[in-house]
Amino acid sequence: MPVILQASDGQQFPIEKNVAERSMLLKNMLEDVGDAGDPIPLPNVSGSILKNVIEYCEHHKDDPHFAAEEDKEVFESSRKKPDDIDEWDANFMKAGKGNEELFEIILAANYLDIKPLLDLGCKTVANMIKGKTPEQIREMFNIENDFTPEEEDQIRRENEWAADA
Amino acid sequence: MASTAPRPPTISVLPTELIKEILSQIQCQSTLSRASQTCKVWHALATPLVFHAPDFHNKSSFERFLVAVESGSQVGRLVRELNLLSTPQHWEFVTDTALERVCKSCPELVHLDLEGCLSVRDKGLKAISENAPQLLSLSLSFCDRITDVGVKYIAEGCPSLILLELKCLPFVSDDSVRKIANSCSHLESVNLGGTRITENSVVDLFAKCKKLTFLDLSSCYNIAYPENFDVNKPEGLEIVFDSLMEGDAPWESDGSDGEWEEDEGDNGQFPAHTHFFHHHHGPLEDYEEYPDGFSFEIGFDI
Repeated sequence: MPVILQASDGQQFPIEKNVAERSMLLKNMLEDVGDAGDPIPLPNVSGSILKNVIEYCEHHKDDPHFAAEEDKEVFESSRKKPDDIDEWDANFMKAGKGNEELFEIILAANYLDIKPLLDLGCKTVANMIKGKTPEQIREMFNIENDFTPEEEDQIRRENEWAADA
Repeated sequence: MASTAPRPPTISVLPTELIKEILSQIQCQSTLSRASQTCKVWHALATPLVFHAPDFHNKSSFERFLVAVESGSQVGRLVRELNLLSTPQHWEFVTDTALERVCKSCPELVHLDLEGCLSVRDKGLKAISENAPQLLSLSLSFCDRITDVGVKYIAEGCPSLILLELKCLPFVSDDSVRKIANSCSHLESVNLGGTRITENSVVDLFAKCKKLTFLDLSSCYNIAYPENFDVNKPEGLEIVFDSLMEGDAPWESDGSDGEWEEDEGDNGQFPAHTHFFHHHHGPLEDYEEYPDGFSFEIGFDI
């Protein structure tokens, strides 16, 4: 019996239970209330983002779940390699996604508690930062420079040692 | 109407915890450092990551770092680990004075790896002793001008040590190591390979350091039969005791041959073929004697 997810704009997505269970939020919810067949409202996630998230979960539905303790070491070491992104995942993140969509996927993954997707999103952003100057980072992510010129100068000096050779 | 104007997507829609998550995925120090200069929130989140375990690509980077941590902005408090082995010329520019500056401006430093910092002498260890009582691990391996005087300072000032490496320190003997055993009861891992210690130090370590799980006694030629300790050691303790044979790396040894005792008639002296040592009997003034690439030759061997 499929699980029906309902996005903030009312769009409904019937999906397999094991796909829904990639989300720890939904997994716990389904365990607690059972499968009543009613649509599950997700007021924080728009239809277009939910569609992307479901696509990700479909592809990864057979991945082993992260057992919180046992796999911790494997998990930790995988975190240490931001470049090391699976090819499908890399294409999934690239496919026509702008920053706005990227941020919303990260927010949705966080809300739905899909740790691998959250990590993928964070790694993708981390990789975008690589090699950029502070000004380029501000521009790329629309960050306001809220330092005073004095603060900026002081912070620049305290970071001089860490600049590239 | 400003409120209806379309705004370019900003990363500030993400809560701070997620920005932190993103920044923690960045391993590259210079990238993190630039990220910390974008805005106040990012500065607050990234600066601890930048200073946690600073890595210096050259001498000038190290010197600029010293200026930064001494600047009064308190960034020195963020430093937890310091390892200078990969920085070119660490054997020259990490002097006693530099070490004192580090210890004074990084009061939360817990891991200090000075392996191969050949310019460090006993005076530098006094600075560690007086300024870094919180140290949990300290490596002085191959800092071969260090003597018992310096190691005694460490025994006095760093009682919390869990790991201590004194590998290949030809002037370190029972005199200071027994003090270490007495003062540093939390020690779990100790490397005394290539020091002058005798059985007495080992007995003291067994008696006083109840948490000891690793002890390297390789090339301790003043211990006649280190393998005897391997038989009588406390439960849970691993002892490495083989000698560094010519063409026989310690990690390849099976610990079954006792040929050193047969080879070495000159009790108390180091064999000439341990290539790290020169048989100096006067003060060692000139580290230029070390061949080029010395630091790469020594490497790690645990």
